[in-house]
Amino acid sequence: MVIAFDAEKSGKTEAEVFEYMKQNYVAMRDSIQKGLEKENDLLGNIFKGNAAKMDRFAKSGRSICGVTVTEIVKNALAVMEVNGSMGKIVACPTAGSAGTVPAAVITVAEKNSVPEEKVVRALFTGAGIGVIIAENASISGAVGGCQAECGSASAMAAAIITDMFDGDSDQVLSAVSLALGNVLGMVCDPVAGMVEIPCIQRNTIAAVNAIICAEMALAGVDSVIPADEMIGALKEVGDLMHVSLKDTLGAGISNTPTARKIEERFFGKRD
Amino acid sequence: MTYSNSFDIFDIIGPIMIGPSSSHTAGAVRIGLVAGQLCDYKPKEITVLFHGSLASTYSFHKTDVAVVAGVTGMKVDDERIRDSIDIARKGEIKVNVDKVNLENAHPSTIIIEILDQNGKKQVLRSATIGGGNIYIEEVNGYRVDTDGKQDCIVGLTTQKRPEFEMQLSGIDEKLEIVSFADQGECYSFKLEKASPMDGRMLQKVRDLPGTKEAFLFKAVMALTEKERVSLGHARSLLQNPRRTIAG
Repeated sequence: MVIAFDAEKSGKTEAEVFEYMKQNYVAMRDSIQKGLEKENDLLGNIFKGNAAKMDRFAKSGRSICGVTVTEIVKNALAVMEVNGSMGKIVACPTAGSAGTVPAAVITVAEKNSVPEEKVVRALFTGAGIGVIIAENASISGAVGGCQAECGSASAMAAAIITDMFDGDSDQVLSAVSLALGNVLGMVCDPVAGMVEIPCIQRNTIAAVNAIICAEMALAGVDSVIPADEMIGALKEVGDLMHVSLKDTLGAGISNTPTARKIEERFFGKRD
Repeated sequence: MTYSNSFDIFDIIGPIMIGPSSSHTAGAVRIGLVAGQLCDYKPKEITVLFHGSLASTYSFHKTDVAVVAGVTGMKVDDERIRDSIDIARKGEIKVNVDKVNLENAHPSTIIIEILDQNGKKQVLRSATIGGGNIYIEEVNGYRVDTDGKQDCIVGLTTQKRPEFEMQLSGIDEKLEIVSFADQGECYSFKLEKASPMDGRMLQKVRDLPGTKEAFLFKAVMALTEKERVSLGHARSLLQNPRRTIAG
């Protein structure tokens, strides 16, 4: 199944558009790799070294989540640590949610030997879903909260994985609806405004949420609420969300005593 | 002020960029890439002024580094971005960064002042508006209102609109005036064309009698709006979920 793969109006051939997406795929894979090569220093250095910790834990054989979930969490952390260190990532849909799609999609694709071409084609499905969310709700934390960033990333990843494993269009849309439904209401409350806490960890839940919802959809679970209505709910919740919870450091995690102390360390006392 | 509300698929998956933030890093580099076109990416001096939330956060988000990277011609995926200010200073470009307090400004407004190789000062006012999207409000005090997704030529002329239209039709009939405004002693203009524009087109506009200044802003987003990949299939799928799309 190919969605949003109409190169006609772009004046480019289908092969060129495909090649362009493939570059994004390769860059996503590289960003995972780079995050696992070494411990990256982050701009804020307040939530660092955790991909390496997960890597050691996974290798110790003590994982309680099972290999796939542990790998996804590790890879999501890896990409977000590369991002936080001014390394190269693929915004998907944003930099703050850049770990979700690579971690969920590439990890399960590699584990299940899904051919590269099939993964790249499925990325178009996810991108199409992302465009629809962007145009009908938002993909910006400052506009719609984290549900709009990591939530959208999660819905895109769920769509990509469902498509990649030959789900039909109903199943893809169920996966999207389920994934958004699970994270509706998630607020954007970064500590000191840095893309570290909770952005890095939020990518782990967004990625794992994606595989859960893809699996439910493939198993035949119907979301009941259609995807377009769920996107409407995403917009409604985003619009109603108080401004203090939309990337303004007003409330939530960014307003905890510890977060305020960290903020003071960086920016001095608030007026 | 209207912000672009349409996305193409490579705005959603992509761009490949240097982190950590679409708005603080990629958006800031893109603003720099627009500003750099005021001096062919060869500034003698760059002054970056941050307003609003950026005034307190720019140093920790390295937004200053991102802007300077763009002004000196680095793209959003250039791994030298983090060192851009050092690289600029080694190349004997003076770099100044400061805060500014503006009235009625977007909370993420960035003003870039450039001294070009002739020592002429050029000023660009812009905002990074989220998700790596940008908004260029003004150049040298006149409105340009562009989002960096399509090539445009902006500038000042002493010609009135009908005369200016006549002049332009002599250059290229497809050149379209998208805005034209009275600036007192002269008029500001913004021109677009359905296909990409180049330096030769800019030179022709500069050579017109009455042109006081003109700048070409090449698109700085991954794909331009005119190259948009159609989303018809994705939309029809949402509208008719029962339809299976083969391919």
